[in-house]
Amino acid sequence: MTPRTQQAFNAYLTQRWARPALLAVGVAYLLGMGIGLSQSPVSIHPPLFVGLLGGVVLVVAVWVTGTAKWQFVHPRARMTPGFSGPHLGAAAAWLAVGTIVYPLSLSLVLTASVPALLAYSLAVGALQVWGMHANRMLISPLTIALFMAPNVPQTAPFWTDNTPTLFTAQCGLIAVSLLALAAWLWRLPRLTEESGDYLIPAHAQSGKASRMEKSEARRNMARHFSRSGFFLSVSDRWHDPLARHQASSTAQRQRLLRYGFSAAPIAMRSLGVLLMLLLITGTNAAVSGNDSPLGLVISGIMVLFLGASLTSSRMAMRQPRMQTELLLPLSRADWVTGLFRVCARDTVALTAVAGGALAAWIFLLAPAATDTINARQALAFTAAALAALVAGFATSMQAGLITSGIKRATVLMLGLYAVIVACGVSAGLSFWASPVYGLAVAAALLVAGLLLLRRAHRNWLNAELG
Amino acid sequence: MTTAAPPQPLTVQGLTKSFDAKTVLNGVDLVVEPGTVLGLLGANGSGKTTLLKCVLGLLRPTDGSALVMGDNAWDLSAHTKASLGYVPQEVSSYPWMRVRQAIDYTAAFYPSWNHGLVADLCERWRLPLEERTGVLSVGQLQSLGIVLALGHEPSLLILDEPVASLDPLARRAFLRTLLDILESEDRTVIFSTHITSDLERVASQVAILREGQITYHGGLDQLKDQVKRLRITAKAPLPPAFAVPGALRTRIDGATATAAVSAFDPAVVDNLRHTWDVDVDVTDLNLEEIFVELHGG
Repeated sequence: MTPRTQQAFNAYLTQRWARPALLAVGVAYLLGMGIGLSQSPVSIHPPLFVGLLGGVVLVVAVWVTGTAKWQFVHPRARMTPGFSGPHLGAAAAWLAVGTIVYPLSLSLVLTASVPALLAYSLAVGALQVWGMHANRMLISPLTIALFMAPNVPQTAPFWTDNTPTLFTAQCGLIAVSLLALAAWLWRLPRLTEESGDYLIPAHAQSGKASRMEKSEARRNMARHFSRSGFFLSVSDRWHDPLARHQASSTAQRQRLLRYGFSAAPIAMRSLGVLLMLLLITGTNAAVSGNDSPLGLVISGIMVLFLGASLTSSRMAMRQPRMQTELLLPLSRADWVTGLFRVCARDTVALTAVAGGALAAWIFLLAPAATDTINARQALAFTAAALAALVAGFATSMQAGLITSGIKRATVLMLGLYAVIVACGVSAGLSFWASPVYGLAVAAALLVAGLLLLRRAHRNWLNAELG
Repeated sequence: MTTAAPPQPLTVQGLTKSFDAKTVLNGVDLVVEPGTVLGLLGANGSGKTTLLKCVLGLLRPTDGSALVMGDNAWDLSAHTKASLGYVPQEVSSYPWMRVRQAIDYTAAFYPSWNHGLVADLCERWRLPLEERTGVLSVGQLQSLGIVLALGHEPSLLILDEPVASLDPLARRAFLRTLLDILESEDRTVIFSTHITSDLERVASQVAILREGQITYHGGLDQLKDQVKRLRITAKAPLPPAFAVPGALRTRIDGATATAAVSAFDPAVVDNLRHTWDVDVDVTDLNLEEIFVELHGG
């Protein structure tokens, strides 16, 4: 391996967490394979399929795409002689490990069809790579639907059975996915500043990005906005009245802070979230049927995750501007409280719209899913959902302090999973034991959420934002 | 009935700031009187930006204190902030907002805003009001940052390398604007810059930051009176032991030597002439040369 190629491979492991994480994953993998090979092949259960394979493929795809974009969305990719070969080779190799080598190794210990494993991993990988690369909203629900497909009874046989017809279809999917990945690798060295997909991860605006990377992220965001005339006109109509605005109280200044978060007002953003939710729920319903409780639960979880992750990433992305915002005529405490209030209002609005849409979906299109729930249980579920909203919001505000995108996503996921588990325990107790027990758990979750919110507020007050 | 004297714009006492094991500021003491234009000089990595950020409450000092108009820097009141203007080294704006919207957004926070001044500055610096701030060049963004800091006519203006990205025309316009602002005795300006010629034009005082401490704080003219270059010419080659008392450095080249002194004393020059029978030429230095000599260049 030439030094240049070696450097290109090592570029994927330069972050401090990458090598220990790879080591831990490698040890777990070897242990698992050792145990698996010493037993008879295990027949695959759908959740195992999705968790063991789909999750790993998604992580690899995100990691490789993010790193490759950082490398190629930069003048050095064009200016450095011999840059493309080693870097494309490294990207292809890491992708091959995650989408081909890993599924093949799983086939040694699982009673699953090899073409099915490969078709699944390559298709999920290709969709995720292109979704991240092009930053197109429409691809995400497709990726999620495909990711969950082995869990769905109607589509599970495609991924587990072994018939000549399925074999042809699976090979076709493998070929298409490989072509898609090859097309991505072909595209990378051809990106120019004028290309619509000349984007680097949005978190370049925050964190430890260099001055140039922040400048590029700023320009790309402005270019991204200027593509949509309708969006710009909505943004201008929202911002233009600022010319006639003069805040004369602390409360008015705090309300002004909502303008610094996003180009569009909350109504437009709620519409965007609603559309995404309808796409996800619709895809789930189309695949699994309207009455599938699993699809509805997944949609409910998406509502919580969406609101919380949007809030935390918006706070993190606003951090570079905070060194001047902190000097606006508001005391530190009033400024932090103002930000919290704006975020809380937005989260409630987003959740209300999304939750309302979900409720409407359930009652209009899937009423059977609610047949077994009585009024007390419904009240307990609602209490749990509200407590989860508070705890989820607190988690997102705490995570918003973290400028590293990966760390923030990890903290957010762990926190929200804990919230969802607590919510699930509350719902389960309400359904199978008594709503009183469910309400008690919901109350505990609410108290925990309020305490975390207070802590997040204090942490923001003490944060060094320079 | 006597009225209380207004608080000092800035009082820093024993300010220390460390990042992990590295101490960047080590017991900085600084008092800035009202109406002062203080130029903050220091080598790269000397702690200028860190000092300014500690003073503005953007970083929390490890030890010591900083008071801005009587308020603890970490907990500035809204009233104090309304009199404070800051231009950071890296200006960050809202990429989706047009320039005029970004200005209107900032203006909406302040109890008073000089729209005429802002319009004049935007015209002077040719800021494209209808462009999104995300597509502005670095220099245009810096100009916007300055406009946003000046619009509310702050009594204390803190600038961290404000002209680094400006073209010569824009730089001149900025200095002209600064001089206009300084006509008011109430205004205090602190700015760090590497362009020493700009400092010489506008600053009345200079503070030099070195290895985390202020090594000089005083008038620009006094600094120039203290730091001089001596050119010594002898009739015969000078011995290696030749030294100028109190010199920052001495370079001997045969029968000539040059030395930089940080505390010029005419008596030393006379002493040199009598002791070594040499001619001594005393040269005034500009601020850049003083900076280079003080930093061992």
